[in-house]
Amino acid sequence: MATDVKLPELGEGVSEGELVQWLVKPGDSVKADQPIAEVLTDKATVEVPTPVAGVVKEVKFKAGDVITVGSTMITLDGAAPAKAAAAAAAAPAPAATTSTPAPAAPAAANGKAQDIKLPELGEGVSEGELVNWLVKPGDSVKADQPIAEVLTDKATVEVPTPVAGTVKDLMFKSGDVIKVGSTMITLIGGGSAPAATAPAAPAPAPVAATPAAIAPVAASTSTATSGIFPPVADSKVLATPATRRLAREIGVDINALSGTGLAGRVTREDVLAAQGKAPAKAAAPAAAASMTIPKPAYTGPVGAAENRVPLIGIRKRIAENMQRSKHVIPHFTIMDEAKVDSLVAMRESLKEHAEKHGTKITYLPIVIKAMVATIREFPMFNASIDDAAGEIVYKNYFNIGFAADTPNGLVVPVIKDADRKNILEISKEILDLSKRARDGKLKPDEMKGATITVTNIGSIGGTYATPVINHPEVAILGMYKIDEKAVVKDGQLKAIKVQNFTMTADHRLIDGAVAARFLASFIGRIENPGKLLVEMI
Amino acid sequence: MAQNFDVVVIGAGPGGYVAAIRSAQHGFKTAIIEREFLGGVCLNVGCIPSKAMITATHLLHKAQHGFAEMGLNIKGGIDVDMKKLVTWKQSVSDKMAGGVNQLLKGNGVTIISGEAEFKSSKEITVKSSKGTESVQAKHFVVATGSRPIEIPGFKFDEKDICSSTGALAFDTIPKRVAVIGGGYIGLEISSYLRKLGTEVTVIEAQSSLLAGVVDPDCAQVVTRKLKKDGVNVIYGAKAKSQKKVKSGYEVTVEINGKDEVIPCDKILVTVGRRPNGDQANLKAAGIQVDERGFVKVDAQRRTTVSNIFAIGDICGQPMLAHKASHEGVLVADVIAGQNRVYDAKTVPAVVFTDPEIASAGMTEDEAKKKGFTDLLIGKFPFAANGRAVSMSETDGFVKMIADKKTNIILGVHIVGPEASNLISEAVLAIEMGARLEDLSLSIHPHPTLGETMMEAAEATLGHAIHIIQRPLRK
Repeated sequence: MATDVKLPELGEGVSEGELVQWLVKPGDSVKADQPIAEVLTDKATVEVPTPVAGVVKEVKFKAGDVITVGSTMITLDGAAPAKAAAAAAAAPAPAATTSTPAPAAPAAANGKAQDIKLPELGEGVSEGELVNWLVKPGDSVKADQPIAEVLTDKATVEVPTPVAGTVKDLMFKSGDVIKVGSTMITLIGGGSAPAATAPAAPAPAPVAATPAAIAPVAASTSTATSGIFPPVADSKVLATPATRRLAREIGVDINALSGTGLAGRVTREDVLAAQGKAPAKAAAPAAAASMTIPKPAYTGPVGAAENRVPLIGIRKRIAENMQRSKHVIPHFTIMDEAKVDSLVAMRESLKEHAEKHGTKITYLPIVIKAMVATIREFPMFNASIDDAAGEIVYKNYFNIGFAADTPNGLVVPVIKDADRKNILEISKEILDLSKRARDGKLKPDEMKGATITVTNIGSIGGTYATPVINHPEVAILGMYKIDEKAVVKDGQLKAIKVQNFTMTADHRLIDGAVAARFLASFIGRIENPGKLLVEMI
Repeated sequence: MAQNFDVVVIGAGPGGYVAAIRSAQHGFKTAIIEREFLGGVCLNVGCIPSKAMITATHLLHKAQHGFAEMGLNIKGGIDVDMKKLVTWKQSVSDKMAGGVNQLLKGNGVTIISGEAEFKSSKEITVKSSKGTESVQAKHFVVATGSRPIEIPGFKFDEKDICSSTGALAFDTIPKRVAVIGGGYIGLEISSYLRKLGTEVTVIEAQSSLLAGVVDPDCAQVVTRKLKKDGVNVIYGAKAKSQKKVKSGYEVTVEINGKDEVIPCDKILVTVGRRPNGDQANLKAAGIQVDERGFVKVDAQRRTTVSNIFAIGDICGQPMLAHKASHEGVLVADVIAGQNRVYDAKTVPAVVFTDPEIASAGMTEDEAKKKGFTDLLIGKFPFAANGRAVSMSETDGFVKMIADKKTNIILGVHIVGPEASNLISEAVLAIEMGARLEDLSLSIHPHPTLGETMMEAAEATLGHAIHIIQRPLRK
């Protein structure tokens, strides 16, 4: 009796998530509440637990797939209700060479070799590159056990064997391109898969590995067959037969192009220029009006030492967000220097006080409070532009995002309602959020809803930067390292502490002069932290 | 022990043998199953032998009617040795089929004689006089073609009541033939039988010949010529029954509710062809066939079973050999993992009547249906072409249809000498998205029939040199 485990609600307003990776594989036993997958939603990676225990029968998606809330993610065999889970708890099965009998029908030891072929990997995918074998000759495998990782132009997929048996031969080596339907391995004593309805054909004599002549003549390192496009013959697109074929070969939907040639003909050059661009019907990223962003292909010199990894997960999300931001927002940056002797002195004096309260105070919470106070003067820095409606949205809440550098890349946790929290509270929250960001344990809504962002590069280095605004916000404040500088004061040479700040803003809403005034006002508070006390509500 | 292949093609007609050769070129272990003859209907009882007969009778006709004006006098006339003619026709077919055999073997394709039947999507049995064998394959290509449609009361015996197959095998010249169906097959055979001296009556249900098949202007030229040559055509007539009488046969036709009897010696039924969807037990493989007997395919010519393809007559109109060959190459490339679909803008059609008709692209009606409201239409007659005049073959014209907005050529319809060879230029023009100017500005050699293409483009633009055209008023 198989149980479907569905993707649960991941947070308010989150309707889908991208599968980053499976934490279990078919054949594993899982306990109730054991995480089964990492799912990325709106910049956060969430571990999704299974509510019940059982043995994983089938995983329904592959890394990179977008799963909607409520879709079945995996099916479990012998799943007990969550309450009884304790009894069913079993250690997750280790890797391939386990000798635990598979839940599937035991293999019929008939000594016959059976060809295991590369199954369909998705629509329009006709081949995949072998990344690595997960089994070796002599291993016994269970039905549905992954035997290989195969890279398609969309994602890396674990390919399971439909039947159990002992691995006899591996037909390919890492890096080989395998066609769908080609025999990947041969198994001895292969029984038929329990779920297989089609009678397994008698094992044909092993066919010699497909000759190289079959490999499609690739114009570049990878032929993207991102779909089978409808014939052009019935559309009004004008292009020569050779151009039409080229478009198909490199994965360009010629029906969606407008030609630059004579009488609107789509030329060979038009097709090549469109290569790698997203098909017109690609889903627009959430929160942005749909826009076509060019996706140029990259082909390195032949034989160059390069390796390719799929652009997925957090990196992909960052890439999309940054690209959208730079595409939509006309950025400009104002830079200035603050004299921070008083600030440094104040922070030093508060060290002990903070420790008593179980935290330590950095410059960031102070900067956040100074930002909130300055935004009250300049509300447009806490606004958004609703392009679709043609309106400016002023927000009467202060959610300050702060950029955190994590092993997985940039993550921006949010201090909600920073105007209602004191510096100690904000300090504690920053420490907690930063740690969980590094560990990849942030909840999605802890990274949502920022109204303005601050990025602290000072801890790493750099004098000035031009950060990218986190769309749909309209400003980002940068803070840099504190340094000593010689100044002449009252005829005396004096060492003072200085810190650089930048204000990057959306020029559609904010003019240079306004940003300069904002920065001046903000620096006034940084140079004299007493102002914060005076303005305190 | 079953034989095992990467690709097995069922049917060695112009679709199947091409698919097999291209599969072998891709490096696949390929077999082709054929129950009757390599080359299929096309090479053995269709395109090729009929062209042999048409060529021979065209020369005969020329000798009888065209030599005298050139001062070529044949003493005592020409007599036709029908047996020898048929033997020569057969040698033409045999030569072509032999060529197919060599090509298949030379490419390492296994040829299996017998009739294929699907057992599953991975296996067929092949029945022959030698018994039954099982053949397995990763991919199948169904290229089983079509057969002539029989009508009630006219069961083919291929001696007296014939399809095209029987008609091509006549080894004596029939005295009187009733041809049921004035489509391209009926008219091609009618043309050459008439030239041999047969009295031909064409029984046509519609009010015109080649209705809906070719451009009506082109059909008219051929209709006039048939009449002039003495072919009798009855329109709006439905063949109801036939009976054998002492002097031959009597065919009863209904015209406007009244029955009429047409006496004849042979009856030729050419009302069309039907796909062989009911053969080879396609169901056993899970292949879906529509109510007309066509196998359902997608743009890659993949059937409802992902490892099985269908090409040629079996998968849909137009039932033409060159479309089948094109699909044969296509499916082999798809099996080899290339991203291909059937994406031809036009499949040219040729009718080997006298004069020949050939067309590519849209007719006026089709262009209007496709939303081209403003058309440029022009004609250039062969009578104004030096080569046609010097060949003494001046019937017909080249007609062009273009989009007025862009001058892009939408359709070309030729009736006249060598129309079948001239049309290829039009096909290329249409596939390349050529404009009228592209044709008119390309220098065509003089004196050739091909000049009519250049001139027709000029005429469509409104300023041909060799015919008098009123200035184009825009």
